[in-house]
Amino acid sequence: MGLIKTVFMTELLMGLKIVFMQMFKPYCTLQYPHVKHPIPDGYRGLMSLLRYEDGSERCVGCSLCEAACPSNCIKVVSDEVPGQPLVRYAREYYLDISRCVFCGFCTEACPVDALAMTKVYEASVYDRRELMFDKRKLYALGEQFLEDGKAYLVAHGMDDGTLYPREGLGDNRYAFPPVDTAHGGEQPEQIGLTREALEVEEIR
Amino acid sequence: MEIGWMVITALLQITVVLITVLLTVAYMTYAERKVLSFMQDRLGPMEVGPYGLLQPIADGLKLFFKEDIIPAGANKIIFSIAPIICLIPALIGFAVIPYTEGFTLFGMQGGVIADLNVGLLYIFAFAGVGAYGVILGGWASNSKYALLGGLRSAAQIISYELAMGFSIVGVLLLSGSLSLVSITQAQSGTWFGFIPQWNVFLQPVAFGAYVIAAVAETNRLPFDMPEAESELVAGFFTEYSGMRFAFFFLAEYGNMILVSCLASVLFLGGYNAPLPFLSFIPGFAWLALKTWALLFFFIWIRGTFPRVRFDQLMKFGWKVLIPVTLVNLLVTALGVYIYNN
Amino acid sequence: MMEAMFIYLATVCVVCAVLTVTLRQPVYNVLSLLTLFFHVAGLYVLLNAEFLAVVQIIVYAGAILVLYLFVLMLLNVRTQSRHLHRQWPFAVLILGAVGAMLVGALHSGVWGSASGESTAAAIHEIGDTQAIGLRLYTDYLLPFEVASLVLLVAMIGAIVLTKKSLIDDHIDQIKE
Repeated sequence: MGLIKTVFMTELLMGLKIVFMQMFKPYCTLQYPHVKHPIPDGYRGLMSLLRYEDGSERCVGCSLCEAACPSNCIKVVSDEVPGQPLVRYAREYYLDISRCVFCGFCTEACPVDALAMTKVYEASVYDRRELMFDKRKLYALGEQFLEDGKAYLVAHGMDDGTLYPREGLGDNRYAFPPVDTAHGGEQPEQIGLTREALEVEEIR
Repeated sequence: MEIGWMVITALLQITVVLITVLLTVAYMTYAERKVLSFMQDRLGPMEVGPYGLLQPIADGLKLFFKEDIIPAGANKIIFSIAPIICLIPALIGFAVIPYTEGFTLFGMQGGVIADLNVGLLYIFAFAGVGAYGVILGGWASNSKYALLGGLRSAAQIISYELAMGFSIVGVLLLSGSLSLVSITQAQSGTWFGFIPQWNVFLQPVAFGAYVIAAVAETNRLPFDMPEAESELVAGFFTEYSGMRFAFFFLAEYGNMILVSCLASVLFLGGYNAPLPFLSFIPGFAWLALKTWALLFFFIWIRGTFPRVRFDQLMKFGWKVLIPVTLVNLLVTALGVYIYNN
Repeated sequence: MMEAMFIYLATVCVVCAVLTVTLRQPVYNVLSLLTLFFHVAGLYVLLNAEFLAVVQIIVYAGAILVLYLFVLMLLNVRTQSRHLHRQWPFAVLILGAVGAMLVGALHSGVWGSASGESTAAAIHEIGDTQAIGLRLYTDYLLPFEVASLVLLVAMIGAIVLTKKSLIDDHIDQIKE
């Protein structure tokens, strides 16, 4: 039996048959530049800076994103808003997207949800310098893909659109969310090691 | 005057055949990409022209305008002539392929460019010469990959040419001629009115051996050891670019078409219609149909089988294919002897 | 027309033959030998011997010379620095002697005219392949068989030489 199989190459013919039948199955690829995959809201594409509905910049220049960035691609130059000594904003904001690893830590770190990631993934340019995003470019992206950015924040559980009331702020730029009193004002349980415990770990 | 007409008819036929062959080469690349895509649930080239139909032209133009690089340390003369040595044998073989029934043009015989009485051996002679282009190209590139590819190719082509030669001797015994025109003419007609008198029905083993040897001879998957991408980058034409690369490419596909044409002529009746009532379709259409069927088979096995190892290739060629074809030759000779007496 | 062809083919033959032994780069030697083979095949065609011409290319150019090239590349022969070897006076001497013999033979008229049954007309009638086959398998069957026997012996010898270690291993195994 084995010899007959070898002589008539039945296994090879079986393979040929399978491949031939495969020809009549529908294709499973996309004609990419013309047809694109739908992209989920949580997709981490190019960075953008958002504005509030009244047009003011969300960013307060706190540099937390700079601290959170694992690839050190963010540079924030913070400054006071002229004439308002207590209010700060980012005078300059640089983001080297060619070094960005698209981890999204900066958006997590942002206390005012000024940073959001869009669904843009076609970032190729002819000049590498164009990949050095400055404040203007980031706000432009945020304006262009405002819906994407908002959807991103919602998808990542950072903003459901109601967290930061803008009414009655007066001169202040933002207000922290009201403390959740449903659980009797208790803080949620500490997850992981405390700072002291971490230090003990290091000493060990 | 006679000679003048002869030259004109010969040039006309050469032009027609050459253009057909080159167009077939161009669209063979397209067909290969398309068929492979369908086998892999893809669509293949779709951008240039409707359904990507102009893709071969775009590819040709691209290769034509590419920078021509000669690597440092390469032997410039041999590096330049190797693609030509490779291409000419692939195209020259079509001179003896009878593409349609004989007709008369300006008082000259048509249907085949040159009806040599040793037409078959002529094709084989030039197929052997094609190996020089590969070896010399590999050697002149001054690159390890190219040299290894060239050496592999030399060993492979020599080994499988033997098996190929043995597999067609049976056909020669049956038709008693080396001229491809006579071999085709011997295959017209039918047995019992419904089986075409093709050699494939008398020589099935030889046909199988011929097809396997032809795949190996043209360096196609699963026998593409000379250019095995995963081991040798691209084998003997690793260092080639632009037009020279295009020449190698043309030669490879030209060889494929040539061996397919030859298989059609030797085993599948050439330009003969399979059944008498189908003979209203012209002969060249039948030849094209048979050749394309074989070319499809080439693509099909490329889409199916993985590459064999080099020792497996050699073992198969020398220890399986050649003994099988020799036994087939013996049986055929006995059969022909008994039949004739 | 035929004479012009002959002169061209013969000239290239001689030039290529000289180049084969004088060029310094081994690959060039092989290439000029290849050209020589092609032009010899051309001479055969002029003599109405298409079969011989094609076989010349298949056997010499297609098989033997490829193996030469193969060996050249495997061994990576270095190019000779000296243009002529020390033996060249002897070579010239032998060449002169053979040449003189050839010229003398041509002048004496031994090969002056073709004779026998295989005239150009006869070959044209039955085809040169058939003519060679008939001669080879009837009149010259014994030399043909002897030649094939010699080749068989050579083949077996080659196998024995290359597989020597395997046979020794086998003998060792039997001894154990």
